[in-house]
Amino acid sequence: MKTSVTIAALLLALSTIGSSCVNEGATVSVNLKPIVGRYRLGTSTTFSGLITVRLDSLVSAEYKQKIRQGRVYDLRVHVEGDYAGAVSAVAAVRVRDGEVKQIIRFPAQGTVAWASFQTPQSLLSKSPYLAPQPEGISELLAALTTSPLPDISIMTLGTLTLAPVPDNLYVVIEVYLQADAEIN
Amino acid sequence: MGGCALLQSAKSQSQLELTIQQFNDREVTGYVQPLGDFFGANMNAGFYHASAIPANGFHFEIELVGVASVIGEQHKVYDAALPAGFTPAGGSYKTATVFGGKGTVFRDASSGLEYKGSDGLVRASIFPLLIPQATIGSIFGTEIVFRFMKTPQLSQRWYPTESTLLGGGIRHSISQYFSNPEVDIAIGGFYSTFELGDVIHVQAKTITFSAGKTFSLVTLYVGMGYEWSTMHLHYDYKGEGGSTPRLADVTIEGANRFRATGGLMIDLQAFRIFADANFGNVQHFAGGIGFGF
Repeated sequence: MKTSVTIAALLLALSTIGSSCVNEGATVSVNLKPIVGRYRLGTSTTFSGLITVRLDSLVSAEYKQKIRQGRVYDLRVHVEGDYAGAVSAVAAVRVRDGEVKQIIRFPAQGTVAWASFQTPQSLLSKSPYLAPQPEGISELLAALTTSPLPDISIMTLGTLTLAPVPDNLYVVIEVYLQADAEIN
Repeated sequence: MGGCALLQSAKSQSQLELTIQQFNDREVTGYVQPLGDFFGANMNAGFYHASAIPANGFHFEIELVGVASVIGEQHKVYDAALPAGFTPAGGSYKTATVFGGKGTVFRDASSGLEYKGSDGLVRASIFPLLIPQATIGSIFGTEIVFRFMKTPQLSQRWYPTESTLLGGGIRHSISQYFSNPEVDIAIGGFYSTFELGDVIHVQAKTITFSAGKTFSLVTLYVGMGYEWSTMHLHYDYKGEGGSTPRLADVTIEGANRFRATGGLMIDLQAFRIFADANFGNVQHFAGGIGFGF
């Protein structure tokens, strides 16, 4: 009887591919669905826009509450519509009802021709027209590790140099996030 | 630091499934390639422990074969493709496989942005497989080998435990055609399949040539084998926050093609024990115990 129990325990323990030492705290790198804000500017030379994003909706259910760390692996800006003037703007984040913090300025200082953004500009390609703002990026990444995942607002605010402004201009901001989700 | 975990709390999905769901069908190959290599090598091992096959007469043996592939440093990292936009364009970075440690954080030299590979799941130096097996013979110097094992979803580990192993093959004595051969010679062909949950399905086949000589209770044997194996992965790809998972169906070829085997078997009358070493792209060992008549 004792022998049978021992053999059964051995078989159970080894089953098919044996025992393993699992890496505790191992994380899977999860590329979140990109946050895309497409803002219609209106006809004024000053503009602002806001989208609300449920961070919860960007992450598969299996990884919610398990995000330990995050990173921005790209941030892109492009525009839609023809306009002869120049633009100066920022994109910012607000977590729940917290403080608004800039995540990127485009350009860093002064203005840049609107047409320059008709070709998508990205941080990854080291666009000279984009200046990341660490404070806002940190705020965004901190939101990723908050439980439960909060709603955030991604907003843009800026000015155009030349009136009149056509009514079909858009600024599109894309944020690419990667999160480390614990799987144990 | 990791801990050795035989049993973990039940979950709906294994850690392996949760991890590979973030890899698309192009990216997953490197991460799990060693798994395919080890499954293939293990499944093609342990089919024979001697080369002597009686020309005729009934014999039957039940065996428990343990096989273990050696996990080397080369199995712990792979070259993962960099995402679009990172430099160098079309380049790669070394990061952890399923058997590796922490995933590598790649820092783009131009922008300073970072991208990280997933961590490895398992810390181990060997990858084992346990195989119950039966041998029945012989007619005209021919015997058949059959292996089967089915395990339920008893507990959750890093892989799905619900599995079915099924295999079989045939061995034929060549030395029976020679008068007074110095050694026993046999050839064989074997096929086996292994399913782990709905996620992994491995097929392996091998043809072997073996020679052995018995000295009293001890038989020394050597062999060569040519083999193939494929691991099919079926999983829901959920990368980039996809709200609608997409079925990924990936086929991965096992690395082992040729193997050289050397081993010994000791006949202790009531039972036999055997062990052999196998050399090829994957180095592995087989051993076990057999009872029969």
